[in-house]
Amino acid sequence: MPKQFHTLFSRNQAHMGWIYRYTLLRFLTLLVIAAVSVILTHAQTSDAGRKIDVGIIVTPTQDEARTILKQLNSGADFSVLAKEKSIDATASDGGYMGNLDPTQLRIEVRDALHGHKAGELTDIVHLPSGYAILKVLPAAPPTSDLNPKRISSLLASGAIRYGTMVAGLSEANAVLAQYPKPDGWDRNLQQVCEIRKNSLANAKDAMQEAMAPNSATGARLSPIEQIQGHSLLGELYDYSGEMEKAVREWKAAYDLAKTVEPGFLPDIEEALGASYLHMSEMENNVYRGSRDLDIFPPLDPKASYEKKDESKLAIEYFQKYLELRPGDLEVLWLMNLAYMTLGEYPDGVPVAYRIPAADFKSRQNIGRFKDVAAAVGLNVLRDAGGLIVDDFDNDGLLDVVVSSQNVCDPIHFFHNNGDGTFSDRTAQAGLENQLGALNIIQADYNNDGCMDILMLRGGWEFPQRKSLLRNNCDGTFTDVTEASGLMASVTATQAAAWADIDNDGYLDLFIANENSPAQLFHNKGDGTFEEIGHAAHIDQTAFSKGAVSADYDGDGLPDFYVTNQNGVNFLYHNNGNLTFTEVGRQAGVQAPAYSFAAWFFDYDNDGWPDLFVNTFMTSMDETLKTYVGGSHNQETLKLYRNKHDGTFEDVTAQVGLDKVFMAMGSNFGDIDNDGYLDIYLGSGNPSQTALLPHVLLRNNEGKSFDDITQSSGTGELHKGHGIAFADLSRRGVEDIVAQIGGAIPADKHAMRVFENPGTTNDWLNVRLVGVKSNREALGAQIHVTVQDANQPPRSMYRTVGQSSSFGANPMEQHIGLGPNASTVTLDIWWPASNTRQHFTNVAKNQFIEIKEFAPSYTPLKRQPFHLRESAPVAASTSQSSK
Amino acid sequence: MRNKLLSGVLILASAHLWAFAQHSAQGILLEVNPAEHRIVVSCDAIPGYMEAMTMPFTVHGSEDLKTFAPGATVRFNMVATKKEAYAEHLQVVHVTNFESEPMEAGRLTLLHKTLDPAAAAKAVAVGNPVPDFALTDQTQQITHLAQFKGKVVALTFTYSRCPNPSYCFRLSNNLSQLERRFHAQAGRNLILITIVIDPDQDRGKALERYAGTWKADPATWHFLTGTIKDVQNVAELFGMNFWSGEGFLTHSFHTVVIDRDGKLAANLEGNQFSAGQLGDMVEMVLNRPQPAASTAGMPQ
Repeated sequence: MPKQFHTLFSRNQAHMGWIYRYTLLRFLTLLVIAAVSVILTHAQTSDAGRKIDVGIIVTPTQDEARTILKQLNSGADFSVLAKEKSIDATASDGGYMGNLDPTQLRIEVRDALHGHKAGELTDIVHLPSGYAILKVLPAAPPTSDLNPKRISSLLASGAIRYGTMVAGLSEANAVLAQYPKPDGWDRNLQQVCEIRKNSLANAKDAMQEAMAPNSATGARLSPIEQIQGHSLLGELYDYSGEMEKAVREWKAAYDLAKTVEPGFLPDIEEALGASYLHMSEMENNVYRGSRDLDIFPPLDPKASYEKKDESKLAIEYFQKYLELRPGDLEVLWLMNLAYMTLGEYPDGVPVAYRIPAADFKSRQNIGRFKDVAAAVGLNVLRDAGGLIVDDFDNDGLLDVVVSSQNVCDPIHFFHNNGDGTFSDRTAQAGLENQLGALNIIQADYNNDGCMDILMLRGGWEFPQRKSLLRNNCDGTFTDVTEASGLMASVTATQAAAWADIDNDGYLDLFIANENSPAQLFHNKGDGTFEEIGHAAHIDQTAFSKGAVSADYDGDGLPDFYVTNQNGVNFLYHNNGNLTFTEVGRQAGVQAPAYSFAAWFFDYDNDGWPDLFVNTFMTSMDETLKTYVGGSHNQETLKLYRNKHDGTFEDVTAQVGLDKVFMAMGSNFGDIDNDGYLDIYLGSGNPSQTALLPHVLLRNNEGKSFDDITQSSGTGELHKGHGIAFADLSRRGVEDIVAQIGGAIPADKHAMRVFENPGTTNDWLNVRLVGVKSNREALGAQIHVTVQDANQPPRSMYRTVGQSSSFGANPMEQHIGLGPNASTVTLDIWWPASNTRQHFTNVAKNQFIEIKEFAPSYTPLKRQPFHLRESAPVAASTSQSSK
Repeated sequence: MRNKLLSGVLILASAHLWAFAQHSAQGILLEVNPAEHRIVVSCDAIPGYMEAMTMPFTVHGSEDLKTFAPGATVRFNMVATKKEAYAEHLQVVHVTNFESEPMEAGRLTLLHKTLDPAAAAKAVAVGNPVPDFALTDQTQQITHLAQFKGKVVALTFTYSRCPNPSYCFRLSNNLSQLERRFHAQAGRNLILITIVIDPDQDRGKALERYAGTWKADPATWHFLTGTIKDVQNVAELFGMNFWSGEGFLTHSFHTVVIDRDGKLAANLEGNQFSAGQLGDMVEMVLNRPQPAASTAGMPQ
């Protein structure tokens, strides 16, 4: 996640900065705060909620601004002058800043715009970057490509605010970067782990030594450097979860800052509050067990942590912070969470600080999901990582594979025992040495009928090798990275998609990288790959975060969509001759400018793949506004409806998804068997302050989405990564499997398996087997038609292999049929062979297998069972990199 | 727009104070004369009292002015009496920006210094010669610092993907404003250098495009880059550091001025100073008397 963004703006910098520059007198600070509040209140009463299109021209000097204002007043075109003269990042867009709520802008700009109507210009406004003239535009001007710089402008104007980063991630990565490394280390997983551990230990020792009062260096550190040194150690201990040491260092920094430089205090207050809250969570074991204490809204408002002291200290520091910054949403929220740990949310939170529980109440209720992860034996602690749910041993049961970004954590392979429990078979499978990997995806790349695993490493971090693990069809895996040709290059990536780009029956592999060219590995059919990215015109360099495949235009060839950070997303149209054309702009799918996980799915069951794209600018402030109200200045997530003509329509607002969630791993499935695909979003960012509930969104028949997090009890507060929807117990309903855990070892968390409360709707589970097409049938399309006595026929569409770019659903297609399905008809289209199958009068509520070209389908024997719900055991710690 | 070096006494007199007055002031130190205990400061505006301006002060008190270097941000008590304006309680402001990223850069700088003291020791002190270095400019020319001897050089660091306009954009924009203010001297007496710290992205055509967004004349304003190691080596000379992470770079903010003899004249940290203050610094260095020997034979 764009750290620079969440570290860019310390809150209230706009009004606070100058105070520290000119005086340190506390009383004056209070006076100014009061004055600002008055102005804020004034502005908000008249402008709140009003969104306007704003243009800006910034010049370096006041004289130039005067000249331009004169030209504008005599009729010159605002956008032309902006392009020619403005030194703001928006100049290339004719000065267009976006459609904004003016009350969210920095105070000078807000005041200048106050009361202005469409077409009116402001006077000259003095900003840190120069002299600005703003205009309320009658409408959004036409712009060319999506311009990420427009968001930069919002950052500079204060419209998007970022909180304190309490993670130590930058510090840990800096010490790793500086640590000596032998050649080829990035291809040796054990060595990467050793270097990570040693570099951290070395940095902590060196800093402690330098800080020691009697050390030669310590004596030479200035008071400011001592504050920085204690803060640095605080961050490093926060990273590894040594919370007592972390708060000791932050406190030392705090005491020094009080006398030496009070400018440091706000950040340290928040860091101390967040560190104490984290310590409280660790002491009360909420990261390890299957506990409901970190679900928001609380399942039982009276439930509390057993040990409360640290939560109370957290509240003290948050309160200190809020005394001078009462409107700060991020810290207000953390304060409410701290009260929740005491069993006092919402009623026990002082009214001035309380965020009402009503803000989170669901309007719909399909029943409460129950976490059974620990009970069923899916009880491993993980950092951020990937998740695959699929049948790896062809016994008709869905197994679970999880990875961890932590370079010292092995992947874990859990075998589904078919009795409500899972067994950890990592060692038997020969996977103990497969360390790290932020993301993992599955594919049967060699068509042997056994699902293989691809591990993607280095996302957000540094280039490392990938692993391709061939399933030997006997419960073991062999690392074939070298033999297959995937070891040739080492990149940083978390984004890859399999697809048969030339319909030759073998799955090819597209990998989008971070800051290096994307790669296309053409499957030669003999277990090896040839990299053809450049020749295929698909090798653009970007900071890519997601890659997915679908035949969006129905021409029988799979296309690719790539999400990027700080740039437009790419839609690569498959030309059919092993080349691609990037058509993101023409197709209307370039946004958001900061994108993350994405997927194709047919949310409205019209037979065409639509596109869902998460945004990843990690402002807590913007995310919390989704609940407490206030309009967004950050881009929202995007839902693009396929228009059946090669282009898409942005229907985000139409379906009620014009919201900001801090979504990380996420996926889709049909939780109530109504035939429409629902969504579960993991939340968070690396900071210990980024505690936000996961989000469950129910699809209302393709017309809108409803947040049912509260009623379903699925609002896990810790960082969410790989997510999959899967029928684990063969009951005909999909459970939600979620890999929880953050980007730092301190944020290791147990998994969640949210067991579906059940539904009376009907279903069908279809497994396709390719013969001429690739064996796992990736890309094959299923059309189910359901005819009821009194209803017009209803259609459901699924494509095998469609899943989120971060979280892997099984290849089998679980399809909800809605209530009272009577006649069920099935149509299958195999694009590689361009053949179709048609089956009528298919019995509902069963598992079936359909082979390509076969005249009939085969019912599969599947014994339903219940997931074990009791006998919770604490999660075992896998290796951690302290 | 901005005042040239003016007598503080005159300005204060023309303001509204004949009697004793005292204000907390801050600014960029342009010149230090330890022997005479005098300084020249490009002062920030003091709302309701004075505009931003350059002023000389006698420093009252026992501070050893040898420990103050031009380019530093200083805070002091500005005292105005009927007779004179003087400064007291002079102190360097080490941290001028308490936003999260600059604070993180501060922590990482200390970490770097602790883990690799040898690299940190390469930083050139104000007054010392800057070792020559060679990087490639936007026209693909190898460019040496030494080729600008006899001219004043203003140099800063940036990268094109830098998301916050208050950081890289602002620092580069400062150079743009120098180009306007000293237009007549640009290229002849003043050279601008932007060192681009993200060579993976900003090289070749991309570097040319980036220079193009500033409408930079390659004869005056050089956008330089090289391998990461080359760029790091140059950055170390000025105590500047950058770290990659999560798609962006965290970096400390440094803008330096090098005099005609190739000596470091000032190292301005942070992003809070104005382009005007940087301009005052450059003007001070441009106006220093030129030893005849050092410019003899230099091509114009």
